[in-house]
Amino acid sequence: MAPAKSSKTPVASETSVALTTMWKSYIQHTSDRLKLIDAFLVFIMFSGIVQFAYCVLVTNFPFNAFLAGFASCVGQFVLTASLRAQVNPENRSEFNDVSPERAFADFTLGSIVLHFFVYNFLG
Amino acid sequence: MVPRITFHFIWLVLATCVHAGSLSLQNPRFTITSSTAAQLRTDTLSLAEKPEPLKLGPSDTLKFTFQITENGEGKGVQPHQTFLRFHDSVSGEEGIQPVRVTPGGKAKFELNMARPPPSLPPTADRPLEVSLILGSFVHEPTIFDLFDLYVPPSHAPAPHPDEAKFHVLPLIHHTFRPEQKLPPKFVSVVFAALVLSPWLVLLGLWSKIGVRVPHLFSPRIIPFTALLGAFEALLCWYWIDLKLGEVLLYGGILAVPTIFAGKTALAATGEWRTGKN
Amino acid sequence: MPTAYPLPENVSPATVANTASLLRIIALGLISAAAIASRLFAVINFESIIHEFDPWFNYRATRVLASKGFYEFWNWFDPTAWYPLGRVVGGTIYPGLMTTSGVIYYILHALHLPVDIRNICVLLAPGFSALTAWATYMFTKEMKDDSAGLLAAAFIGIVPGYISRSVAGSYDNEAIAIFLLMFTFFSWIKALKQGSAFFGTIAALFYFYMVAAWGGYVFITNMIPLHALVLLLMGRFTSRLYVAYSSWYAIGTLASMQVPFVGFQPVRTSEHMAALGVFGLLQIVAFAQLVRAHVSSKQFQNLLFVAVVSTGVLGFFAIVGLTYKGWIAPWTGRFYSLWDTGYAKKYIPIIASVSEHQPTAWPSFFMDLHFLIWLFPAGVVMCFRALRDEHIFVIIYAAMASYFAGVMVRLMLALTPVVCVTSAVALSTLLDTYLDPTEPTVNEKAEPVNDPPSTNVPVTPKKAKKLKDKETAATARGALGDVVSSVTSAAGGSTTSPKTTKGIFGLDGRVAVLVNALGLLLFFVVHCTWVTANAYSSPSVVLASTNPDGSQHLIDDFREAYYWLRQNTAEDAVVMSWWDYGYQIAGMANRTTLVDNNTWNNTHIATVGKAMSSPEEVAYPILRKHDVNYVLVIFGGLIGYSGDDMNKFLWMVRISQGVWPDEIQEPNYFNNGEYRVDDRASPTMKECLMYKMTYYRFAQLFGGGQAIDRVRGQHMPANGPTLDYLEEAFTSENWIVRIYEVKKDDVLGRDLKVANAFGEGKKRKRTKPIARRKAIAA
Repeated sequence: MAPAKSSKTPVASETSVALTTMWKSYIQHTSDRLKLIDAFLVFIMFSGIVQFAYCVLVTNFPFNAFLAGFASCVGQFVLTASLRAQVNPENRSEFNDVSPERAFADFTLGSIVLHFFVYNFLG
Repeated sequence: MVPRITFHFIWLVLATCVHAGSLSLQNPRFTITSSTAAQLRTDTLSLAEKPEPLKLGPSDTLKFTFQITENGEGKGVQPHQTFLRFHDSVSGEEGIQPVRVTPGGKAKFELNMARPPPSLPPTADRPLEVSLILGSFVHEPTIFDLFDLYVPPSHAPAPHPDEAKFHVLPLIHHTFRPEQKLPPKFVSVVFAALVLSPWLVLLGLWSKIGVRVPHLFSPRIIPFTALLGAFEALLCWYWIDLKLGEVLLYGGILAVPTIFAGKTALAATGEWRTGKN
Repeated sequence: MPTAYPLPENVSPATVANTASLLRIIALGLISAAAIASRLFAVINFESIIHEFDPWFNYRATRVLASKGFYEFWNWFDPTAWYPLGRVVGGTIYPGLMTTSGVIYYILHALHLPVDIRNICVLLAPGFSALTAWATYMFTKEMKDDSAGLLAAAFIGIVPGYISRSVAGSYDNEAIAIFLLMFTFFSWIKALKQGSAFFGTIAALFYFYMVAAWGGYVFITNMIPLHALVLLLMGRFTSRLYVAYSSWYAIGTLASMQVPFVGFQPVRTSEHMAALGVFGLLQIVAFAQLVRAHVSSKQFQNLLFVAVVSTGVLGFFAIVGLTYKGWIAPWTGRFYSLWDTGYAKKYIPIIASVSEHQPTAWPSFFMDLHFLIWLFPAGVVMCFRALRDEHIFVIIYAAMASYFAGVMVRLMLALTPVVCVTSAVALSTLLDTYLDPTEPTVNEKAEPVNDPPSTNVPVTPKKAKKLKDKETAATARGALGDVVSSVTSAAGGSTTSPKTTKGIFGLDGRVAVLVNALGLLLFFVVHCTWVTANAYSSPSVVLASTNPDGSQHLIDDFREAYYWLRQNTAEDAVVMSWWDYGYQIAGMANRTTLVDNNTWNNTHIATVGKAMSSPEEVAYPILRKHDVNYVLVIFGGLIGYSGDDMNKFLWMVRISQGVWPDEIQEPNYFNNGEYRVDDRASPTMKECLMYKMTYYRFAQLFGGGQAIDRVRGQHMPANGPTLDYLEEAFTSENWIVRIYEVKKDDVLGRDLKVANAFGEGKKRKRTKPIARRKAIAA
């Protein structure tokens, strides 16, 4: 976690305590469904990071292909994160019009549209 | 243009046919005088070989007299055109000066360096080759190489006023963007492996969480997932082969059953969810 | 419960709802019909013809698309434009408009309806205006309710500010772009309200369509992030905002990069960085929210806050740094000219020379919006009252668009929709308040009544008749006062406040206000019809004037001249003209042009400007080098057509001065600071090609009488200019278009001026040959 690393030494111990409590709280209070989605999010994040590293370290030569790949990661990430927000029972009050099933339908539609543009851009 | 060429050609043929003879030069003689009228050099030219180069100072005058005769006989003739040509063989600059010839064939030419004629070409420290050109309707045209002439050097030739406008432009060289070079194969392979590695993370995490898909193969769900897979396949096919219009058409066709399948599938999951909760 | 007027009893709520929805559908249908019909003035007064300048190019491109297919159009390289450079058309246009009409064309032909592509192009704008009315209805419905939506739809359907860009034949990008703009905004609001990725995706798709259709998409690109940012700063972050914005941005940005003209700009230029920045910020904030849900430590929360803020600041500086390093292109000139109105005139005269880019004159606000411009602030105030997320959007939109409309005439178009929306909200609140039959009670609590206003509307005119005489003197200023007072007194009307201690007593007060409002609406309709018919329906290819007997006389010089070009010149002839007429020459005369309205190459335009503003001897080599066969100038001096080349001439001088400051200088064309074309014109002016071509043989037309230029109101000298290097080839009926042929080399190899002098019997001056030898001074 970025914020934790940037903290200063006097609060470091407290931060690490806070971090462990946070992690425990996450493990305890998150349903398996959400964990499933979170795992997927982590996967997408790593894919994106590797692609970005390739662009920065090696070459950005087919720039459109890089953008397509990276944008597919980013897009899929935010769509999945949106799905997570929508199916999260804690957010139920915010999404009156969106049932979890509707959220999944939205997610598939968004993904298909996204993938269409990704393939179109891939070259 | 064509008639003019034939016209010349006729004359040429005529001249050779008539064989009226050739023109020759009698008593070619030059004199160089200084501005104080002192004679510096005077000599008769031999046409067989050039004399020593003539030198003119900035205020000297060159006088050149000769008579033109037919076939080397005494009777002088007046050619139709008589020119003196000053030529710088290195720079290619030349000047042509017409010479007036009397009907008796006698001619006198004077070059005053204090007031040089406009046609005298610009010079460096090289001599100008001076030659006499005779043209006639009835005789064969003739050129006599007379002598080399040193005149005081002048400035380099000024550019022609039209030169800037009408000039052969240098050829255009197209510059292309350099070909993008691909990274070495090893790097590509390493990064390909890296890009694929998150799948391991994903599978690891999922197996740790323990994914259960109890309803995946139920008849109400499977059409939906299959159709979604078909969509992905279509898009992949688009990348490989299809054109835009075809993809939109097939996608549109595919969308209809997908919507229905999705409705039933999601309604089913909704029931299971509410039933379970 | 006391009511001001009797309400029909025993009507079931279902009947009311059904009637209301039926009325809504009928009203929307009628509004669409009115929107389309009022745009047909141009076709009825003139004919089914493409208007103005840019539409001619769009039309030509659409013809290529229709006849050769999409891929051919996509890869179209046009060698006849920007001669000798050519133009990659596929990569330098927004193809949305052409594709739209191409698709309509193919569908109609698939249905065996052989409609001419020209008619589709002419009628596309009116057709889309009906869709715009519908989109505005949907958008306003999200702001208030159905009745406000209907009012907004009616406003946008006939408001001159929008009609000016969408009459039949005005086949330009804006024709479809406003619909796309409104629908994108509607989807965005819907996505934000519901937190639905579905509407986010729809917004992204329409955003993509918008990007493909109009350069003004940058407005959306910055409006939505701005809205999101303001919501964020107001502490209104919700997961809904995250879902809506993320799905819109992720898909929309990737989609926008598919348009070749846009390309990598969304990740490379400053205009698009705001959207990216807000996207990043939202990710951080969302993550912080997630973490906070699992953490209780107060200190950690503070730390998190600091981290979020510092990350935002860091990101901002990263973008600035990247801009300096050249990774991100800085703002473009057109963008600067939005902030600094004097910028364009100083640095990019080519932008300033377009009349659409001038700052807006005040009267044109009234001309284009009529009484909506007064209701507009009231509507914004109404938005402040409720201040839901979507109202903030409207407020930001109103503020931004007002500024831009003040800076550039052209951006009036972006202001018009929001004016219609807010005015409709204001007016509908007014009507709601005064149509509400509930009499306020002084002490008792009355139950709230929710009457759909549409059912009550037919009642009003009947009552209005009685008091008509009393209220005829109502002025517009009074109406504004009414609106303001109703806003302040009505407290949101019948819908919001459950207690009806505030309200309107009796009938007279209601009727007075309502008649006033209806009168305003009536005047609005009259004004819109008048403006549309008189000001905005001229194709500007065909001009209209009135004969002494009042009948209409059409001046058709442009088409006459272009037709002459097409029939009498070689197919590969190159025609030089000022860039305004490039598209028309290409579209109507089908000839090669040097420059046209796609002003991508400033130097090339400056070259044409230089040729026009130089003396003949200087211009001739330029003309010959560019293979120009004909030069076309527009001259309005005979009939008083003010948009001619002599009036644009100073821009030509300025633009070429920007490239050749040594050869062309603007002050040389003035006589003591006066722009004169008569015998007091400056020598430079009298010598320049444009002047000569414009007034060549003009004085002879008056047969010895005093020649007068009717545009500039100056008397022309009896001895007009002479031409040596060009000769008159064609002059149209009213002298509006004059075409000159560039003479070829003299057959004897003489200079053309010398040859001309010889032809006139002038004796040639003997000149001494120039000495080529220049002696070195001793």
